Amino acid sequence: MSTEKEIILQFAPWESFVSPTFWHKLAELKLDHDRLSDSKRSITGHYTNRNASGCLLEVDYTAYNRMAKPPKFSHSAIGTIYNKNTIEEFKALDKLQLLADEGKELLADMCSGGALRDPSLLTRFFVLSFADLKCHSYYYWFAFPCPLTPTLKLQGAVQKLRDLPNSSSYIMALKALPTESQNFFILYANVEKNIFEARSLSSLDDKNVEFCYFGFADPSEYEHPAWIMRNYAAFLLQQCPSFVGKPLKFLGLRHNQQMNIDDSLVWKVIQTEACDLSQSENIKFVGWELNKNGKMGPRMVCMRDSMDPAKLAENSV
Amino acid sequence: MQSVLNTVKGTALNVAEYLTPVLKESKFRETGVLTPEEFVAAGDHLVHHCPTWQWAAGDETKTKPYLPKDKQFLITRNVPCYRRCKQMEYVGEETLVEEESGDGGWVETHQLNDDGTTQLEDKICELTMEETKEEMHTPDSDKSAPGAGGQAEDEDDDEAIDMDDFEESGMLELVDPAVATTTRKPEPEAKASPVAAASGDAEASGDSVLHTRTYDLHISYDKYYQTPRLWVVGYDEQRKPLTVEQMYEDVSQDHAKKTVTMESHPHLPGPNMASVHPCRHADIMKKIIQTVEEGGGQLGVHLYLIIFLKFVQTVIPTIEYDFTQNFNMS
Repeated sequence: MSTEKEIILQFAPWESFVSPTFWHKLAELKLDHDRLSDSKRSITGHYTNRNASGCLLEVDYTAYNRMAKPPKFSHSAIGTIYNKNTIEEFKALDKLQLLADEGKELLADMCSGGALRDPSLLTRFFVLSFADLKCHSYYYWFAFPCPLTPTLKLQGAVQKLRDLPNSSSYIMALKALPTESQNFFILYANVEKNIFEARSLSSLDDKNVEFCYFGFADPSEYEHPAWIMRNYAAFLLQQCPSFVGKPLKFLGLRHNQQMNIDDSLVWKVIQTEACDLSQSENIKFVGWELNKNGKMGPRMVCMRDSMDPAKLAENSV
Repeated sequence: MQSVLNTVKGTALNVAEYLTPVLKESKFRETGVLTPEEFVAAGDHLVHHCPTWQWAAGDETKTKPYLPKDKQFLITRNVPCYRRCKQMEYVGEETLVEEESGDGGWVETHQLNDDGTTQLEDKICELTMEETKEEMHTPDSDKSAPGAGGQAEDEDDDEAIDMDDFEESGMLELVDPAVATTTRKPEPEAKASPVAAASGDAEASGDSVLHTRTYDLHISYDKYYQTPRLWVVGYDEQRKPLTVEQMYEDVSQDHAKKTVTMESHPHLPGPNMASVHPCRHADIMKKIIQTVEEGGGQLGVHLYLIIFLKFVQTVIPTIEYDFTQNFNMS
């Protein structure tokens, strides 16, 4: 094995993108429904792998719907919002503990196989927030928990789907995959037997790994895969411990504006150290989003222009 | 004044809408109005033929019982808008173009800037102004990718809260070698702005990039007027929502504040949204139906929204949403 040319695979971190309607709905819920309660609330977000810019995870007012359906060309992410009552609580909260608690729930889904039935559990996120309803300021901090597992080594160059041999057969198979299952899937490509098939993730087994491409909808525009592949890889290695030490192929499905998938990327990686995620006590987690200065800190948005009655009255005459 | 009147009227109409029974029988041919079922049928037709449109469920607490749960209103997102309406109107002289066949010429009301006339200078001028403004307010604007859109509104000077206080030390102790540092490259041609990338259009790579706004368009069913109703919400290049005044720049000046008003969206939480007032929609539709029928044709009700989108284009001429098919007037 070539050891010198091995490079650690890096992931493009998520960037949160919050639609103003998200705060409007939060204000409404806080005033009319939650009031003094600060219990957590399940939300959903979505991301798109069509014409991706950055690596965005978007939330809007639909996040609070019970039956949230992602917009066209988008996939769901499962989240939680912890909206605190005071800024002091927001500040004082043990952020690492919260991340660890959320991370353990992620691990539970990975180990129990719940993520096999509903792969969107792998794209878990949460928001810590404080809504200053008087000043119309919203403090928020997104996190995308991810267990700190041994690094994946990149083998060979990153390839575009169109540059692979048999790429047209791959593309045909991928096009046949229903949109709902495109978030995580397996592309089975056996050239000798001439079988090219995109399958759902639930068909995962630890045989024939050399014929498999582990596919996912990749919202990253960079050469790095999106953050979700990190959880995906950890999940696969947890489900099939025999993958440790074997080269695995990941396919980041990327659509352009015309829904062409030629530019999807393939990474060939290997994880040499085993790691048992069921021993969750020993696992560390990462995933807090950096603020716009690249520091560990929350963000703030002022919604006065669209929430302050005085401002609204001013604008409407 | 007009907008105050509209607000009062809007509130009164909300009461009226509540009291108006849901239209049961089709009156499309006689009056140009729609039943909710016809709205859904026309919406399905639109979604099928124009994949940029999709059904949305909206806010669950605002679900209207007379429409299917997952088909409350129609939405298309990130529609490019390259130029301001103001630029289009009142620019250049009207030129009479003579046709050689002698059938009478036609009047060219505005010249496109292919010939590099005054309009180009306008653009350059506006471009530099915008840049200086940007520098003053957000010194780190070079890295303000769309992801930064969330906090982009904190430029209010009197509200300067020191976010450094909130930064946590000690959280970076954990060395994570697998995080990529992804600063967006300032590639002028390819992906300088998400909008330029989203448009997939050669035009976007030109100097008009800075002007490119995007719009989300919604079509809801207005129970009182029994017609579809168009809503627009705009974003600037950084995906920061536009103010009302900015949005009026993209509305034909004849219609701003009169036909286009700010009202609360039936399916969305939050502030008032700009909408094309539906009071004339049924009349216009009826006229179109008559014109078609005089020509011996027949207009199916499923085409309603496609025609609707054509005639509201006069109100928002620079928003390039219309990729729908043509229909025959005769």
